[in-house]
Amino acid sequence: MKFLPILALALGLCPAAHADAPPSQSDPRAVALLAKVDDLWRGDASHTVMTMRVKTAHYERTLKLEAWTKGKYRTLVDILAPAKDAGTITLKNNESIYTYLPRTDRTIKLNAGMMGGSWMGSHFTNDDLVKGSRLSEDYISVVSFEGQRGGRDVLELTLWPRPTAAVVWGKIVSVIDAATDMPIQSTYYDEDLKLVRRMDFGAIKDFGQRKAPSTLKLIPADLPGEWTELDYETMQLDSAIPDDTFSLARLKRRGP
Amino acid sequence: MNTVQLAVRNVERKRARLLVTAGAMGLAGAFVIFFTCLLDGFYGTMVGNVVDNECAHLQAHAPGWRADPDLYNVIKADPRALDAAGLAWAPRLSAFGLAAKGEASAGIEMRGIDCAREPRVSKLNTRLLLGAWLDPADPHGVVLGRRLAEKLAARPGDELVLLSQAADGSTANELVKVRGVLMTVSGRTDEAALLVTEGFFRDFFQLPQGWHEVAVRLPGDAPDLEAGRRALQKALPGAEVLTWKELLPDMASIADMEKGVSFVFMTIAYLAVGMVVFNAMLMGVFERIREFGIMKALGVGPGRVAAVIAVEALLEAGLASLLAGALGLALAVLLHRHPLDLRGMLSSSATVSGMAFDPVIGALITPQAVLRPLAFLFVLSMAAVAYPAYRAATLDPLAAINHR
Repeated sequence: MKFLPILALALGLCPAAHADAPPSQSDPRAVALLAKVDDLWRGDASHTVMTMRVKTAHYERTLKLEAWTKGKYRTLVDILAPAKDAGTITLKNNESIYTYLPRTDRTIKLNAGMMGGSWMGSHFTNDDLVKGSRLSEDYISVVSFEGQRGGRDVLELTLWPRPTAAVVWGKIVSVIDAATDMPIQSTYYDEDLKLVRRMDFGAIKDFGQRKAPSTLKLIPADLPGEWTELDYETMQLDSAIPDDTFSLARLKRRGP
Repeated sequence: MNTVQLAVRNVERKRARLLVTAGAMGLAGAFVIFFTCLLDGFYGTMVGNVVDNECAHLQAHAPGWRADPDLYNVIKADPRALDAAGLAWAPRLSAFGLAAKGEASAGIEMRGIDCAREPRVSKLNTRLLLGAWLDPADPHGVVLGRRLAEKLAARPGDELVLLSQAADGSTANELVKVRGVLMTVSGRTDEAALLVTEGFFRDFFQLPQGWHEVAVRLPGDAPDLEAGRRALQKALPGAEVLTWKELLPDMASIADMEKGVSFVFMTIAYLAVGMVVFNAMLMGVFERIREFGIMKALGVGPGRVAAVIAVEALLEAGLASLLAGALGLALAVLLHRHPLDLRGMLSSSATVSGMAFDPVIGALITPQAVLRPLAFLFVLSMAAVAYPAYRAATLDPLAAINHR
């Protein structure tokens, strides 16, 4: 599905040793690995059920979500629980995000100023949902480390944004398991190369059509002790999803 | 005959000169009094607008809130302690979100208002362009900033959807109706303010207690801000307390600059008055050189000659002061009762440094504004007469008698 990679690919980690100048071209091996990571959760369409747990200094909450994606730029996320938020639907259609609010029975379009805001009280932003970038295409990537870490063989890829790419990160460092090509951790830096957040991937799960990490834990760098974790329960790729699932007219319905 | 009698007789003999000199001094003094009252009125209007619109004299916030207006960072102390200090205060709440009407949406700063207390510290409730002020009996009625209303094309009676994140992380959303639209208040308020009742704010954001801001208005036209700050800090320990000058430094700079301009202008005005007095005194001595020569020939000493001239100057200054005080005060009272209304000359609401400025300027009459120019007239007279008096006192009697 697309929802997962959008969130996953928006995150990364990088030690200070890699704060060197961006390379002029990608390492083909790094590009091939990133393409694999990009496609882990991507199909022409996807249908996912997941649990999102959020821990902040002020609250802890658990939401159950159902999500549909189609193509690169269409995503629909329906909140199933808790009851207070149930029925709230987020629709991403190209660069726009709409939210259906069952309490008011209204749909509103989020403006540019809201894109940096929290999505459903989590550490993900609305912008994370909108960005449909592929790491392998939007970043110049190199293999910056290859060897053992934590008792397993890993590859560390450092990604620099292409000058023409409309991306938010100044640098991403992704650590990939050399044996399975599965992502382990990504760290994300802003334009000043200051660490912003980290994403830990875990619990490789066989979703039937493919294996992929089923948990993604987002840890903001500036909020100690806070995190948001996505736990994918089911994932169906390339399922037939009607186009009008992503239409405004269908927002009031729960699901396609 | 004593010195004063001599001086009075001299003055009486030259009534025309007295009227011209005292008249010129009096008119100049009246102008200074009137202009001082006008500038004080302008300054007072500007500061009054800032305080009245929303800022109040002092504001208290939780430390760090102004730099990062976090929903959770609230003043926990009970502001009712301010009642004991005899201060007029109003608590406020603030958080960010989104308002939408149809396809249009805009970022908002939602402000929770204590409808009973807010009028004690500001006149925001009277600054309505359209519709009506908040009413606790209508919790879903909101008041919008002027530019925000334009962005949403919203008018009283229109329905808006509000969206934000509540304190418990849930999605806060509600349908509300526009009750009113504010006239121009300040850049920040115009662009994004959406005012709601305190009760609505707390329900919407699930924020049961605490305040983001406590505004305080001090009594009097020129209150002691530092004394107010101490009282507020004592009542709300740990809170960051700022005066309106610190909250709006640009506006405070303009006010200070106005004082500087006023000082320069008054200095020029006083110098002009000084020239008038000096000229009159000098001419008054020169045209009487023979007279002073005869006085000295008759045995009047230099000190007494100088004293006679000084008393003459004092008499003239006294008469000029009466004229200046009467005329200047009359003009100032006239402007106080009938302020200059410049609104017709401006296309829309005037703003100074982003703050609305109601261009209706009246005179502010204070004892200082009247008495200082009058005192200065006397000082100036004495200074101006010093040289002529010295000349007269040191005249050679024979040469003076033969002076043509």
